[in-house]
Formats: sequence, C-alpha cells, structure tokens
Amino acid sequence: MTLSQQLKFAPRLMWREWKSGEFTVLLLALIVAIASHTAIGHFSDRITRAMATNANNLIGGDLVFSSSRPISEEVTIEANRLGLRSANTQRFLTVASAEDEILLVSVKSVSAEYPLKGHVKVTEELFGEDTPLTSGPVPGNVWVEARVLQSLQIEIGDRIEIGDSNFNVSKILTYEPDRGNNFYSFNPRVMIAKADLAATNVVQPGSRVWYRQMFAGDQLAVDTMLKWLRENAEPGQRIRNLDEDRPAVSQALIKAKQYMGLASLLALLLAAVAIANSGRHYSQRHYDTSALLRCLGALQNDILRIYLVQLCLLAFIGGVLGNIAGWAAQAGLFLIINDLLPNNLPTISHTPIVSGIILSFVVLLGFTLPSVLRLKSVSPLRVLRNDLSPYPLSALLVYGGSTVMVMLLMWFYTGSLTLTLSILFGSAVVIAIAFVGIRLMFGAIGWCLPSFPLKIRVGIRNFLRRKREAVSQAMAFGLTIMAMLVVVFLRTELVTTWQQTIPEDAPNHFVLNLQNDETEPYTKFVTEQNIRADQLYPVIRGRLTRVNDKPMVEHVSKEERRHESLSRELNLTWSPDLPPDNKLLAGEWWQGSANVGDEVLVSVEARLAEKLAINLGDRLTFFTGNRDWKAVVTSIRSVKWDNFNPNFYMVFQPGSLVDLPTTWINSFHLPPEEKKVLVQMLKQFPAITLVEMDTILNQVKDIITQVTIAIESILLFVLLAGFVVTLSAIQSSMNDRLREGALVRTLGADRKLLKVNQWSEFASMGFLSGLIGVAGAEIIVAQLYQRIFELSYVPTWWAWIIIPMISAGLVGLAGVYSSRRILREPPMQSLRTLRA
Amino acid sequence: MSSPSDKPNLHLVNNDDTAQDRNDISAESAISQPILRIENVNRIVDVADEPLQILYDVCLQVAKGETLAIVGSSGSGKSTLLGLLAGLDLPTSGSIELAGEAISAMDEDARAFVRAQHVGFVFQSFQLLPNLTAVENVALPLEILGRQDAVALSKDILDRVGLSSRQTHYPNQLSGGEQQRVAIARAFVTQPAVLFADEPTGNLDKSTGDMVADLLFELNAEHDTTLILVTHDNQLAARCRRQVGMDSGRLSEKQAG
Ligand SMILES: Nc1ncnc2c1ncn2[C@@H]1O[C@H](COP(=O)(O)OP(=O)(O)OP(=O)(O)O)[C@@H](O)[C@H]1O
Ligand SMILES: [Mg+2]
Repeated sequence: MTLSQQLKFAPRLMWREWKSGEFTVLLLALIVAIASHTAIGHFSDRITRAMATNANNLIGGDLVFSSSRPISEEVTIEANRLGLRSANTQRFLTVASAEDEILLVSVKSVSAEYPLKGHVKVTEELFGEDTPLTSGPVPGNVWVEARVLQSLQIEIGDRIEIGDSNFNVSKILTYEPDRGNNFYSFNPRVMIAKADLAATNVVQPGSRVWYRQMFAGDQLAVDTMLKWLRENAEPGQRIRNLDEDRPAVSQALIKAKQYMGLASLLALLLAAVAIANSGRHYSQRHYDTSALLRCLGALQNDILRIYLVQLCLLAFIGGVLGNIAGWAAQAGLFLIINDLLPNNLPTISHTPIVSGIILSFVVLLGFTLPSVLRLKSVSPLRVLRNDLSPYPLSALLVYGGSTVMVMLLMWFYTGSLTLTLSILFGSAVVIAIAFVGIRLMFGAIGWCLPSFPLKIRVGIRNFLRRKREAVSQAMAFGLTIMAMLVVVFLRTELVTTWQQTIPEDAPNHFVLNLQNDETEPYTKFVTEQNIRADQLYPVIRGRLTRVNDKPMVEHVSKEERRHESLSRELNLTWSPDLPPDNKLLAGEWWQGSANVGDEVLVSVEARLAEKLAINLGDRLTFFTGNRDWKAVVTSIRSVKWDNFNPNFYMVFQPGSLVDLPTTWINSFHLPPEEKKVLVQMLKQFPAITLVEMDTILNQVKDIITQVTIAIESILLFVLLAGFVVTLSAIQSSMNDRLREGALVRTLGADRKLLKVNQWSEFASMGFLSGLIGVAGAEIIVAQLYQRIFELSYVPTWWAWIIIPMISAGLVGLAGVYSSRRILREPPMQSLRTLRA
Repeated sequence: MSSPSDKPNLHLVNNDDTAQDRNDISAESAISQPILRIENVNRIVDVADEPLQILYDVCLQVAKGETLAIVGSSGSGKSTLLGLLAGLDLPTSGSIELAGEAISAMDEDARAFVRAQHVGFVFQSFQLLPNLTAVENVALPLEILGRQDAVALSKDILDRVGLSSRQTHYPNQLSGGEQQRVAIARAFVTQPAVLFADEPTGNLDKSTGDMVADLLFELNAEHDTTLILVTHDNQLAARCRRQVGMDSGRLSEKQAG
C-alpha cells in the first residue's frame, strides 16, 4: 500500500470499527485524562491567578521596592521600559494639629496611580459601612483613620494642619491595601495626595522618610524588574514580593498550587492506567484483524502505519473532545462556586488547551504504542492456528514502561523531583505488592483447588489461567485507590492546617496605649460587653543599643546595620509563661517573678537573635526614656508571626521592668455586627488606640476558602478518573469472563454458584487492591509531608483496615454489576457472539 | 528421517519407498506452467525445546486451473502445508514456488505482496472481522490493493453469492453459512490465481456445507481459479479433480474416484 492509500484506509477502518463501539472505552479514558488535565489546568490557573491578584492586592502591587532615600529616576525608567505600571508613596512621621490638639501621625502621600492593586476603603461615618475606591484623596483633602478624629477631637469636614499646609478632612480611612500587618507600632494614618507633599515643607534633607515604589504588570516583566532591582538595589533598599511579605497567604497559595499539581498528576496517572489497559485490550482484539490483513497481503509496515494513523486520529479526537469537556467542567465549577470567588476572575489562558492536545498524543501513543507495535508482528499464520498470539508483553513491561512514562511527564510538569520520586516509589511498591500478592493468592487458590466442588473447578482453573490479567487489574485498582487516598489525605491535612492558620475567632481588633490605671476598668468593660478579649500584654518601649557593652553598629554585620529593629524602638513585654504558639529553642524559661535588685532576664526571638548575633548569656543594653538598663539573655524562642496575635521580639521576666513607663495592649475578636460597641469603648477610654484588622483578616480568609473549594472540586476529577480505570479494567477481561461464564454454565453450574464465584473473585481482588493502595498512599503521603509540605506525618492506621474492606465491597459490586451479562444471557448466545 | 531427496521434477514424492508411483502422476506434467511447485519441503517446529517434524520431504506440483483436495486425518499436517503453500509461513527446508515466484526465499513482506496479488483464502472459522459489515469485509483485500472500486465490486460479488440484502450486516448477525459465503465472496473478489480453502465446510452442517461447496466450485469455474482445498470430508474432496492424502506429514497421490 502506498502512504496515501494507508492514510485513506486507516480512518476508514477506524470509522467502521468506531460504529461498532470498539473505541468507546479507550476514547473515554483519553477524554477523561485530557478533560481532567485541562479542567484542573484552567481551574488552578484561573484560581491561582485570581488568588495571586487578591494576595498581591495585600501588598499593593506585584512587586514593591522600598527605600529610606528617594528612589532614583532610573527605577521608574526601567519600569516604564518594561511596560509595568507603577505608583509611589512616601511615608513619614509628623505632627498633625487641629485647633489646640496635636497628634503624632504617620503621613502617607500617594501618587495619582495609587493604589495599583486592590482598593482603598473609606467611610464617612465612624465605624459605618465602608466603600472601596481606586484612588487616593484629591489634592487639598486628607483621609484619616478613625482614631485621628478621636484624638484631635474633630469631625469629617473639619480642617487639620500638616506642616505648612492646611487640609480638609474628607473621609475616614478604614483600609489600605498595602498596609503591613506589623500594625501596633504604627501611628495613626493620614493620607494625602502626593501633589500636596512639597507644599507642606515637612520633608527636608535629613528627615526620615520611607519611600515606596510599587509595580504591577505581567509576570515576565515583573520577574525581569525583580532581577533588575536585585542587581541595582543599594543597602537600605528592600525588594518585596508576596512570598516575603505574606508568609501565611503565600504558603497557602504555594501549597494549594502544589496540591493541584499533584491532584492533576494523579488524575492523569489514573487515566493513563485506564488508557494503557484499554490500549492493551484494543491491540489484543486486533490480533485477528492484523493476521487477516497480513494474510490478505498487507505488509508489516502497512499494519504499523494503519494503526499509527488510527492512534494519531484518536489522540487528536480525544484531545479536542477532552479539551471541550475540560473547559465545560471548569466553567461549570466556576458557575457553582461563583459567589465565593472575586468578581475579577481572569479568563482562561491557552496554555492548558495546547498542553491538553499535546498530552493527548503523548499519553495515548506512550501508553498504547508498546502493545500496538506488537500488532505488526502477529503471524499471518494465526488465521490457521488461532493460538499463535505474539508473545504477550509482560504486565511488568507494560506497567513499568507506562510508569516511567508518567514519571517523565510528572517531572516535566512539576519540576519537582521529590514529588515525582515519592510517587514513583509509592507506585513501585504498589506494583511490587500487586505482583507478589496476586501470585500468592493464585498459589493459595490453586493449592485449595481439589477441595472446591467439582462443578466450579473448571471456572476456577480458567480464572487461574488469567493470572496476567489479574495482576494488571489489581495494579490498576491499587493505583487508583492509592491516587484517591493521597488526594483525600492531603486535602484533609491541608484544609485543617489552613483553617488553623486563621481560626474563626482570630483576634481582629487591637487596643493599644491602655494606661496602667485603665486596665481594671477596661477588663470590666469588655466583660460587661461580652467581648471575648485575650490576655492583656504590657508594652514597654525601648531601643536596643548594645550587646555585651559593644554598640550595635560595631556588633552586627554590615548588612544588618540598617535592620529595622535597630532604627526604632522595640515593643518589649513581660510574661510569666511562654506565650502561646512560641517555642523554646534554647535556654530555660524563668520560674515566677523577679525581685527588686535581681538581674533582668530576657527571652529573644530566634530570627532576630540570629540577625543581630545575639547568643544565650549575652548582656543587652536597652535605652528607654532617658536611661540605659541591662538584661541577660536566658532563652531563645521561635514565634509564629502569622497567628494574628500580639507577638514580641523580647519577653522579660515579670517584676523586672516595673519602674519603666508601661502601657498595655489587648486583642479581641469582634463580629462585624457588633462593631458599634467600639464607639462606646472609645468614649470611655479616649486615650487608647484602636486598630481594626477585620478587613485584612477577611481577605485572607476568603483566599483560604477559595483554595479549599478548589481543592475539594479537584477531588472530583480524581474520582472520575478512578471510575474510568475500573471500567477499563473490567472491560478488558469481559470477553474471557463471558466465555468462561457460558462454558461453566453449559457444564452445569447454576447462576447462584456463578454469582458466588464472581463475588469472591472481585471482592478478593478489591481487598488486595485496597491493601496495595493504602500501602502506596502511605508511602507517598509520608514522603510529601516530610519533604514538600513540611508537616509531620502520622500513619493512618484505620485506613489499613477500612479501605480494603470498602474496596472489596465496591470492586465486588462494580465487577458483579458489569458482569451481569454473563448471568443474564443464555450461554448459547454468549458463545455465539464471542465466536463471531 | 527420510533420506535427502534428489529426484527431480516430481509432482509429488513421498520419499517413502512404498510410494514409487511417479509414472502415474507424471501425466500431469503435460501442463506447461505449474502455478504451484514445491520440492522437498520439511517443516520442523520446536515444541518445548524438542524438534517436532510435521512435514516430511513433501513435493507437489499444481497446474493452473486445477482443483486439488488435500485430505488426511486430524493433526496430519494439512493446515501446516496449506500455510506454507500460501506463503504464510516458511519451510524449514525445501523450496516453494507460487505463480512463478520462489516464495520460500522471500521475506515476509515480499510474500505478503505475492499473497495480495495472487492468493485468496477461505477458512474453517470464516475469519471475518467482527467490527466490519459484510460489504466492508469483502472490500478489505481490494482496499489493501488500493483499488478505488472496492465497494462497488464487493457489492456485485455479494449479489453473486446471494447476500445482497445482508450487505450492511455484521458477522454476528449472520448465520455460519452466510458468514462463509461472505468469506468466499471476499476470496474471489480480487480474482486470485490460487484459492486456498482450509476446511471451508468444517464448521457447517451438511446441507449448508453442500451449498457453500457448490458456491465455491461454481465461482471457481467462473473465475478459472486454481483451488487447493484442505478437508477430511471425502465427499467434498471427491468434487476436486485431483486428491492427495496427508498422513503423518507425508503426502501421497490418491487415485481419482
Ligand atoms: N507452530 C507449531 N508449534 C507446535 N506444533 C505445531 C505447530 N504447527 C503445527 N503443529 C502441530 O503439527 C501437527 C499438525 O498440525 P496441522 O494444523 O497442520 O494439522 P491438520 O492436519 O490441519 O489437522 P486438523 O485436521 O485437525 O486441522 C499438529 O499436531 C499440531 O499440533
Ligand atoms: Mg487444520
């Protein structure tokens, strides 16, 4: 045949076989593979882009460059060159005044482009509903935090003075997208337009100003900019992106991405198993066809090309249909969870579409080619001697080859060798156990054979002959169960971890500057108002000046000289106990309170200690008000900074700092509908500073909810893929079973007996697969926990008992159900259909 | 094992010394060009690492247009011989010439080409593709030859075998006799020079078998095809002009009648 004849003949032959339903399961498996790939691809792509956008809103841009000196023109030029949008802010402390009252405020002047991402939220009524805006105040106006109104005793519409300028207070500022969460060191915020900055004359050479430039744009440009900034940053200039700035959120995002990647890989793995299975089945069913075609004069190469053309066609069709199904699935998914998603959801990108099509070819050819290649070597003599099958590929070769294939795909996909190797290892165990397990089981059955009733021995012997088939089925089921378990285990773990990151009742309001004599009435107030307040912490301000009598500048390394903790006063506290969520890493915690004249003992936060080269036993000198005082480091402890509780670098022994000026801080959770109580609180304690964190917290919570939903829906695809595997595995042995069933029935077995046989066969297969799956899943999950998710791993003992039982039940049911034809059809009819 | 045969030009030699009746059969050599000529063919296969000889020094010539029946008991090696004659397999030793081409010296693809050009098959188990309709099955060999008129020709010949109303039926919707008629249509549709039939009526009842055999011989006469038929049905064998017997891998000429 010429090539053009082959190209014409192959699809014709395929179409004819297609009409008779030959390709259904193979195509179904392929479609599920591609659909789950593209659906998860689109889904995670869109969700992560949306989440990243939301999360980036939290820092006000994709990339933030901050500096203590004016940022050079070059930076702006480079950003423009890369097509990035940028905005800038200037932050400084100064005094704001209104009539007789004065207040130290943190002024932020913002350029016209501000905010680049997210919204500024403002209200015109104290603690009233706020509205999001996409720009800062217009020149001549200021927006202020609620506590500024309180302290300066003014209202909206009044005027305040900053430096040489006079402003109209037009709105109450409730939320800035780029406000860090290091909140309680902040002075109340006043926001002005950048255009007004010069006229105030506040910023003079030598005044301390924090300059910030924010950038937003497409990922490539942002990455280039990041690199450029890294190369050109001077000491004291800092580059921030999401990863550094929001550890909790970015951790959640990273883990979610990893999880989705993993889930889509597992779905792919399952679908691949299904494809390999039905591919093998497909080529076996074509032994006769190939033999006949050869007998009729087709060349070996004709056969090869015919099937290659067919596979490519099938891959293309599967790729397109899978893409459509995948697109529809993700669209449906988004429809369902629409309410939970931000309305700025990005549209689909073309990457999953293209990779879906390519994957279709890779997967189909990769998994079926080994068995289809054998079609070429079918002897034409088979038309005369039906037993002349090409030596069957061993299951080990098929599955081993397929596994290697999947691993390569995975590696290519995730770029994570650890992830890939864990799954490889888990799968290897699955395959090994399946191999040995099935052989043992068959051995045992063979050994017991003489004690079976005579009637069913034929059937059992037939079943025993299908050892190879059984091994691959148990592997398929085992891998399926493994994949599903991994996905379920990880989902549960991740979701709980995240929900613990920000508990429902995480404190969302902070009270600062509570005076010594106010602590008692304050405690009484919160009790009366039923506010669930946490522990009150004392706060002493102090600057760290020396370590072991050496000035800090000399003590620390060059890079750390500009560390924030040296340039400002630290918040110090004392506590009888180790604060919750803190962990003692070195030294000992003190017992009880210090007495007058005792040495002052301090516990230092681990990361700060490392940066500032502070060790156990070092003597630290602090400066508070107008005097120096000393303390000895007795412990180093780690702090969970992202738990939204007050956290401290330095904790002292109670009783040792009593003669230093002290204020108190407190945090509590307040649901939105109870916010009016704050008006009363401010009336009773006018001197306190109230910080509202609820908006930020809600945003973080939303992100976590989205991630959770995304993860749960991905479970669906994995389950679907598992279903197809089951289908393909059962289908591939259906003919044998039909033949056997008919045979055994002709030999006199009644249907009840046959049913018992089927049940015991499928159920034991299911039980074994369950065991195999649990073993594989435990191995993979253990690896992933330790190496990727950095969680500690506890084996799930219950799974070892429950999963095999469930699996036995389900596989038994599915098997018996799909083999019902064997019982239903008269044996004669089965034999006749099979013969044709 | 038999002694090496060096007797030339024998239509059939069973190297058994008992069968030295070459004078009788040399009458056939009057026909100028044998379509099929095999000499000293041995076939030895390995069964569980033990060599097993299935055919012993088989020699045979078949003239163009001849009808030949190979009869013999089950397991005597008839199908094995047929496979060799049709170029489906290679002999361990000896030579086979089909339509003037030495197929025993050809590789598999070259033999496939010869098969496509000159050979048709009918099998005991029909060997229809279950996923193809009757007409599609018949068209298959024409399509392999790359013929444009495949479907039209197939429909014609299906009419000829009396299955015009069953063209779009799948094999499992046809009775055994009907399936074999489709197979016969498929065998003749390429107008082969030689038709090989292995127990064409073996899977059919007596009357259906007779009908299929009638059809086979009718078409054979119409197309002037050389027919080589394997059977253990003596009645069917008797319808051939010439019969040879296969006994434990040795071939011997049978007297007609
Ligand atoms: N490739 C092979 N491997 C092993 N044994 C073979 C092979 N080919 C043929 N045989 C054996 O050679 C013998 C002859 O087989 P063959 O199929 O030619 O017999 P047959 O005359 O066609 O019998 P039947 O009438 O039953 O079809 C049989 O015993 C068969 O098992
Ligand atoms: Mg035979």
